[in-house]
Amino acid sequence: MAYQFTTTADIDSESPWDESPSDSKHNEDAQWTRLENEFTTAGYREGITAGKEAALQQGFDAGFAHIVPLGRSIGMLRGLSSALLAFLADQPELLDEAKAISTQLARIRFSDVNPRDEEAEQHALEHLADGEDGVETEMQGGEGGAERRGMEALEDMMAGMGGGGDSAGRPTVEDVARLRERLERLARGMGLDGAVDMS
Amino acid sequence: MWSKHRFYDNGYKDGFAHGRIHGLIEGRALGREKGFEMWEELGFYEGVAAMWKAIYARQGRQDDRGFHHALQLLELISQFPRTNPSAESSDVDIPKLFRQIRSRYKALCATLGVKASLRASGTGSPSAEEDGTEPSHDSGNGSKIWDLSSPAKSKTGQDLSF
Repeated sequence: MAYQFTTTADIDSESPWDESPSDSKHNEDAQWTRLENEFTTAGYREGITAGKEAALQQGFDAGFAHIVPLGRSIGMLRGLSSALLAFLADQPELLDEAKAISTQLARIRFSDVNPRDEEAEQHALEHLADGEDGVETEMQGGEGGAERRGMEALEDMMAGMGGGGDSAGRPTVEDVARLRERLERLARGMGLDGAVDMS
Repeated sequence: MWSKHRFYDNGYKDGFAHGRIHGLIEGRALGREKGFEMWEELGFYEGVAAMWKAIYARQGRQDDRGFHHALQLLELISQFPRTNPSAESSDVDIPKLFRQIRSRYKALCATLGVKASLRASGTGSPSAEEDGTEPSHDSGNGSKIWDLSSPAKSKTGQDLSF
């Protein structure tokens, strides 16, 4: 008879209406599941912090090395055109072109030329698919980056470029290449092309 | 007890893998920002020096003081690392090199009678740079140059030490 009794109890425990506190099997399962969730979540939390910490420097070094050629190249264009501008101070026919190049180079921001981080975009999409958000800021340079973008949007508004703060009208990498060509042409015309060789 | 550890370890493993992805993403974003900022400035000085070097050479004025400033500036910049060197490979005193580059650039500008513009992009704090102090570039830690210290305390890693 004892066997019969246990079977009945098992069937009962699967019933959603049965919340009898005296049902020890049900309680044990629930506790077990809760325990599993608690410990898994605690482990996950600590793991995510540790994993992030462990990889941050590696990511930083990779990002640093990746962007240096671009930063150097834009800096050099600015330096070259700035020096040319100073040199041409009394030659108005060439000065205008040097000024135009210099002004347009000065407009370029890091966010205009920063290449996409496809891995970051991919990962953000995965989060979106999971119904989460908040990854976007991370992709675009963290909270500091968000702050800077806010400032840039403000600058755009004040410059009368529209209030959206979007990328419309912003210089592109192609614009940088064109400015480089113009600068090279200008320097070549003055017999100074050796300076523009950025190897 | 054993099961609790197993649950924790499984969670930790999954969390670590996920955290790693975020660490790489966030680190890359920060590294790009810092690398661009530093080399945009260095590139600017390099461009100025290269152009004046060409101008002096074109005018046959290789004995001028300005020509030598330009050459030395180019030489200093060529010593600057283009990657973030790890502790063991780093034997360059970066803050010192940066100061030397800035002061050589200022010397070149003074010789030319040109106003020194320390940053082409107009970002940052030119007044601090004029003094030769580098608030975000200096730290007591000279062994590792761009070291992400205790990133756990700061979600965005703003406490990068140099």
